[in-house]
Amino acid sequence: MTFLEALSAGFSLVAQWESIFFLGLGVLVGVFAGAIPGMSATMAVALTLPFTFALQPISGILLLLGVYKGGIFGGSIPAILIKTPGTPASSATSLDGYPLAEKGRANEALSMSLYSSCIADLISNLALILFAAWLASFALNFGPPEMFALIVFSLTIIAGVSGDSLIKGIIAATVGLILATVGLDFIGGTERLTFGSVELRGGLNLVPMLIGLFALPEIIAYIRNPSEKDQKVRALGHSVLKWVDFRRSLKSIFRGSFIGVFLGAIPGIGAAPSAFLSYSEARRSSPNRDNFGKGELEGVAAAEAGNNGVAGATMIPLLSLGIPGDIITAIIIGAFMVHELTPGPLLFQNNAEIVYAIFIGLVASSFLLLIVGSVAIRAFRYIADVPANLLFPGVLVLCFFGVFAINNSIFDVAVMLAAGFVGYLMLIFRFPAAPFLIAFILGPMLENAFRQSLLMSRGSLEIFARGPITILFWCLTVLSITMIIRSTVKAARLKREAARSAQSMQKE
Amino acid sequence: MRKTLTAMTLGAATAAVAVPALAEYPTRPIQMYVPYGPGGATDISGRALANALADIVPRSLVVSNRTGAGGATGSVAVRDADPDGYTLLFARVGSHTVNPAMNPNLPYTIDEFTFIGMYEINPVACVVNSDSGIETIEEFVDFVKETPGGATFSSAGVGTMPHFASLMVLDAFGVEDLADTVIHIPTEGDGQALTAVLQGTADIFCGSSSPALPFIESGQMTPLLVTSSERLDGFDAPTVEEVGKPELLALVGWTAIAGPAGLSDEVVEKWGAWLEEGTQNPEFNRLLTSGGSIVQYMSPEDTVQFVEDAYDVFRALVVELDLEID
Amino acid sequence: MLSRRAEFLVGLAVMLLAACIIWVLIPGYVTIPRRVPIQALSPSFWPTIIGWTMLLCGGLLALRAVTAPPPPDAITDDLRVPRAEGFRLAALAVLLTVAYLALPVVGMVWTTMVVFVLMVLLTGGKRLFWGVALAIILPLVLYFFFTKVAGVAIPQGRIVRLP
Repeated sequence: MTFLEALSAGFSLVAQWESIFFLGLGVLVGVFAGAIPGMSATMAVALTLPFTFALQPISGILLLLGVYKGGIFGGSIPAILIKTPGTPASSATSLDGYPLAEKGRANEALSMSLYSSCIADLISNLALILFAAWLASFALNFGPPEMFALIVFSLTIIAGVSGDSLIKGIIAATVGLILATVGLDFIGGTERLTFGSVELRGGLNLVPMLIGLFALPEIIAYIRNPSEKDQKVRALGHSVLKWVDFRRSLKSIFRGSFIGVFLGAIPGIGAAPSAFLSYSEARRSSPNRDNFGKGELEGVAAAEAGNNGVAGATMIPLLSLGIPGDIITAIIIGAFMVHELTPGPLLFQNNAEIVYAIFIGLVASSFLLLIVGSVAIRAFRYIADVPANLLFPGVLVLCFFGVFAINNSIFDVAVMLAAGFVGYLMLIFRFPAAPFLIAFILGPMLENAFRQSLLMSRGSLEIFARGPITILFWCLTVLSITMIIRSTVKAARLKREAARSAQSMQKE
Repeated sequence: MRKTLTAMTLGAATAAVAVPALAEYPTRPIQMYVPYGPGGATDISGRALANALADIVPRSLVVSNRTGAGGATGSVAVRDADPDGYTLLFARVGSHTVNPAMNPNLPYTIDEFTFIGMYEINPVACVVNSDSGIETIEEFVDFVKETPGGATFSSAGVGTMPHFASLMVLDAFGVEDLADTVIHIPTEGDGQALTAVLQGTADIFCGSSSPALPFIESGQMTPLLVTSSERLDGFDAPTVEEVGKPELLALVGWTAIAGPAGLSDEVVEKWGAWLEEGTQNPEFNRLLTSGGSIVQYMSPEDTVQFVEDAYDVFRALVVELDLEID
Repeated sequence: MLSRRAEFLVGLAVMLLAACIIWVLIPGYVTIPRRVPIQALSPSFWPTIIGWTMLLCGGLLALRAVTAPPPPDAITDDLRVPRAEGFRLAALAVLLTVAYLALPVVGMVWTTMVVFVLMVLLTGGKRLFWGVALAIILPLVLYFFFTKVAGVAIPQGRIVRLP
């Protein structure tokens, strides 16, 4: 089959009402499922899988892809409205989305998140279609040493989300890192900091941690002093996104999309590091740097672009090598197998029409997401208008159900409550929560990659400089740290001067 | 006492929902735990079985994932549940033979479960990267012997089937001092373990044949060996009997349904009948075989015998080769 | 911003936590396998590095608090807790602990209904009618969604079971 034949065959597969219907249905299910904390995109895809068995292969796969795409965007809705990110990736969206919602600009934040998601998704899909082969060979060269170098570089994001004090950001990160070591040791299989608990053998689960860390401190702070929020009139959240705001965020959207494509093509990283990296890069280069974390639309745009930019790119290792990049793509492989399609190089030879149908379907899904997302925003934005004294108890109830549903575990509810307590202490003592979370996500990847590399090399450290990719990331890390030190020193000097002038003014 | 309690619960339930209570098991939905994550081999086969049983079991089956610690978290959750037949487990070779055999500190033993029936067998396949130039298991064994401390194998984690399988295969082929001659590179799942072979991080992977199938079909990997008694579709590799190691036939994956210890005979008998019928469902068979599994129903007694035999073989080898996790 | 004194104490607390990790938790609760081929592969290697980083940063935080000029009083946080706020915090802590313990016994739906109403009362009890209505509706809706649509067995408890 020539390229054009395959393309037209693929097109005729998608250009049926049935295919478009299932794709749209998938996006719809995904957006609404993603909007419920605890019903993450992963779970939605897993639950949809059995329904695809009875469908035509292409319809089934498009349905799952729709759920996947919709779910990733859907996660940003609760992240913005109630500061309850259902997935790790959407927690970066909370950083600026929730402050915006508090200012009564929820609709703007949601719209920005939607447009940014759709653009990033489209770019990611186009990258998949155009550069799949090239990015796949890159993914294949990405072994544990390369992973280690990349994660070390990613840890420099912490500086970008630390707020006023870098030292406090690093301390928060070390707490996240140490909590991530709880569980069975990866290499030896022995117990680490489990204190004999069976539940802790499996480690602390990520989603209960992040919901506890983000949503609960808000609830606790509200209960402690309800009058503060009750008196503040929350303007109705129906403000409209302005074109200027959108246009000045475009650069961050594109940058975030490329970061997403790049990290998405590497198996095993996932969307959260990409969202945070994109966010911190946007903050670093934005003229509105100081407004980040306090309600900056560009921050929402960057986080969502990084998050959604991954979605198409994770299909690269899946389609071209047969490697699942994350849990969701692992489930999608299951769907391929059930329909007797073999993901990997063979798919392009034997079922080229399916491949092109998937490509066209993915591009179409970006547009369907725009339509479904707009509807969803209209439906959900009213949550921003619920009075605080009913909203916060409702959020807590939702967290209880959602956290339980993630792993059917009541213990996870305890993890969430404990994380909420820690999060509230951090809020009082002004430790930023984002570095904690990033470290908690990246910590295990860092340690595992480090130890796998040393196993490969029998303990020789030379392996960490084994090729151009590792060396590139080491250089980036050094560059990044230099810049962090320079800006920290500069900020400290400015602060000291300001304090000195304030003192001398007091004396006068 | 228990009967009065059950009666009271039932009474309360009837009062609350006004549904006529049935005297016989099951009177309410049955919860079935998958001790591994969504989308994995156990999850897919478990959900497929639940679909096949939907018309046979009078009440609904709720399949839930309870992930963590290589299947231990989910297994313990079921062990600690009431033995009333409403909380069951998809017990797996990893959680119920390999890990108990290798890890003396595991918080449960296989005696703490009532096995209800087996429904699936997954043969193990050993695969290497096609670029390695290795085509037979003997060549691989020679490679290991020539480069002591140089060969690596990947697994889905410590105490999982692939961890044990590679060691058992190499031992059968006379490789000595396994702890020093081959290096174990754990990863976080079969998918990652295969990726490691594809990237050259590890030299060999011995594990469930189904996740390896796509890589074999596409020519990226070469199969060296399968542990089924007959050759497997899609795998152009000899069986263990063909290479003269019939003892490796014990090295197969399986999925069975188990409950907490002390499950009543009524529950076990009913499930035996349901499983026997359910495993004949053509759609279920098509699904499982397309994933490289073999549908095989075993009665409760046979299942217990099978699991105990496999455990004894594995345990003996663990002791002999000093593979215990401590 | 925290006052210099509070910042200094926070720094010391971080150092104490780090010391506890390095000298109590790691030796006591990290099991080292019999065979550790390379020192860097020991399960305690990584936690120890983290512990020392934490110790160092805690020290730096305390040091900076001592040496840096104090922030103007106007932007310093007041860490004192007024009696009413303290009462509400304590009540919330008790409520959440009891709710967690009640989950397996009473069931998630009934527990969260009570939690919802008590939280509304704790914050002054405005819009009580809607509070009670939502407290009944939301857990039921979530229950039916999760059990019937998403196939999650929400804990039912041992007292009154829902269909």
